Amino acid sequence: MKKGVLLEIRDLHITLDFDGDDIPIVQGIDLELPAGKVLALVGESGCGKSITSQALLRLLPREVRISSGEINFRPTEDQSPIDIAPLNKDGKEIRSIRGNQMSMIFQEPMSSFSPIHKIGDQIGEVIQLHLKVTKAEARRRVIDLLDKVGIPDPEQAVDQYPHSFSGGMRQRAMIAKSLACNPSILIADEPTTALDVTIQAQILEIMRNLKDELRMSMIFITHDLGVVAQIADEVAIMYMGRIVEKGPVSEIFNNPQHPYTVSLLSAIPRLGDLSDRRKLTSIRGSVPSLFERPPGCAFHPRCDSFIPGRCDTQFPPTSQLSPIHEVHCFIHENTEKEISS
Amino acid sequence: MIRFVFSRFVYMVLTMAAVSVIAFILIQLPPGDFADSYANKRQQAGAPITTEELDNMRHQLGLDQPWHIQYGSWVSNMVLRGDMGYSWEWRRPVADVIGDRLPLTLALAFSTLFLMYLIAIPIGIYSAVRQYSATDHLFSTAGYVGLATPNFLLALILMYLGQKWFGQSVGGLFSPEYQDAPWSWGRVGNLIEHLWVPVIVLGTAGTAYLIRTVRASTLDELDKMYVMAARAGGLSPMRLLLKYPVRMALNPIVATLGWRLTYVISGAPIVGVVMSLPDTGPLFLHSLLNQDMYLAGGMVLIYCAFTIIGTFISDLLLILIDPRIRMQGN
Ligand SMILES: Nc1ncnc2c1ncn2[C@@H]1O[C@H](COP(=O)(O)OP(=O)(O)O)[C@@H](O)[C@H]1O
Ligand SMILES: [Mg+2]
Repeated sequence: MKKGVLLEIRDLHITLDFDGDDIPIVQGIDLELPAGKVLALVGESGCGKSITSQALLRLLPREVRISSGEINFRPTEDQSPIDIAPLNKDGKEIRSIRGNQMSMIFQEPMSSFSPIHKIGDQIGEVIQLHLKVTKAEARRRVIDLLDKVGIPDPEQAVDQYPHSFSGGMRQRAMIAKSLACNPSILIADEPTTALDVTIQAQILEIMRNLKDELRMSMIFITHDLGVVAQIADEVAIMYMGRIVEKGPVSEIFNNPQHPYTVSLLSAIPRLGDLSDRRKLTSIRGSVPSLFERPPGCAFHPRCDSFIPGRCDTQFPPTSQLSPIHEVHCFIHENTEKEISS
Repeated sequence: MIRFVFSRFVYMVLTMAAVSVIAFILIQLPPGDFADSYANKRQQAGAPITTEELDNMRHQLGLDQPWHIQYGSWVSNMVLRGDMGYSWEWRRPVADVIGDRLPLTLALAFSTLFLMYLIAIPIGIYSAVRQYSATDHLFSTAGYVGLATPNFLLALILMYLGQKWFGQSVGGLFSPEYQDAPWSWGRVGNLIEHLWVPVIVLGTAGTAYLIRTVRASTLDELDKMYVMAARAGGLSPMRLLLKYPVRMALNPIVATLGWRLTYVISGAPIVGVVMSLPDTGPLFLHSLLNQDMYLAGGMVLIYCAFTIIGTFISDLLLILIDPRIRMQGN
């Protein structure tokens, strides 16, 4: 494992068991999360972002499984990594990681808490599970956490049920829960998608501050490149279960090379650009279903640079455009050769 | 919350009052009255009574009064003095006649209910957690058969098998030697030995139905986001299952406890008649056939009271287990 990296995904394949057939959902992705950084995983809905993130904590639904690959994780740089992929999916090892060293926030704040248990108890449960504390200490800590994520009157909020919280408040509580044991990695699966724009901004702000304060690393999943610019350091663009381009945020935003990235970027509304509405395009066509995966590069039916006989036969190999910028696209096949030669 | 309970209570009393009127009207609905059916019997026995005697009898029993007067005195006696009227057929107060047999009906109903839940809840949860496994399929199939078998048929089959294999007369609730004996441990034991047949008959379909309900509601909950969120916190599978999805899945089951009770109570008379149990089933049937008005009315009232009380208990339990309902009341 490279120096400074806490989480490394190697050639990860995830399949859906559909009446005995293995339908690929994720097809060999490679990712690295450096300590203290935010890696954004971006792609349209249905491209496998949630499934990938759930695989990291082995939370996949029953009919979905990791078919091959490695997920190497270490909580700190001085520890030796363990491979999460082959662990028993509800065994002791993975459970001691969940919520403790790696935790997760979900897209739907309205349904991520049980409606019949108090917010404070649901957060306190994680604390008591992983830290050796008394019930009173756990409660104290929950109140501190609620305060930290900006929930007003935390002393009272701790005893409330989820239904008396708004969506934004619940997402704050969810963040508090995910931070309960000072994890080294936080996975956030579209944490702001279900919220109003103003609340979105607040939640992003909180996450950014807490990340710096607690020096966490984060995998931030979104379908919105606009959000990426505000929080991420690195970005990986995903299409139908494959990473098609990745690199530092500034590099990808200023110098996008994959046609899919280019069209995603042109779909972001920019402040000040309102006069030029034509630029706000959306991508032609839509994501095909898992059962109709186009051969070769799955994006080719929607791509303006489609090379017949090439893109529809084989998935493009990695083109290392620079040490930090990687793309999978046949239009860059030769570019790489020039660099490497 | 107190207000909620109180409003439910008032609601219960009002329903009871309404039900008593309906019960009374229902009982009066069939043509003729007790005097007629008595005259009929005498006729068949070859000793007809005169019209004068008949009128006399009507007058004595109050049958010549308008129905609302009859109803009024029935209800006021019941509420004020616990007097449910007089059974002409049995020549005893209705309260005594019912009192003799009600404990057996209750024993039957509650042991059935208890066993239904005891069996259905674990199986339902297990089937949900192991959805589509061989065991799940087995329980589902057994459940369909259980649902589809009519109670009376099941009763006959079990009685036949009981006779054939155990040489035991499974009709009734007591062996002959305990039939009229006073209560003792031996008699209780004897009761339990006989009770299993009517319990199975009465409970099979309900258990099958309950298993399906538990399975479906647990499956519903297992797919919810909060289950994954709790897993993501590191909870062990068993604790998680019991603490979140099962707790949630029990809500609809508890909420329908009242209906279950009704179901068992209303199924009991048929089983009682088919198996000739000394409980309220045959009593109810005969009171209707003989137009033994106050006895029949009392029985209808008691059956309805159980339903209403069951619903009230369901409401209270729901308040206890579901904070959302608790808050709503405030
Ligand atoms: N439990 C499941 N059963 C069947 N298909 C699933 C399941 N979960 C996800 N999928 C499929 O896997 C693909 C990726 O889903 P997901 O990871 O949720 O996408 P994203 O989060 O990027 O929107 C989608 O095509 C989705 O339909
Ligand atoms: Mg998703």
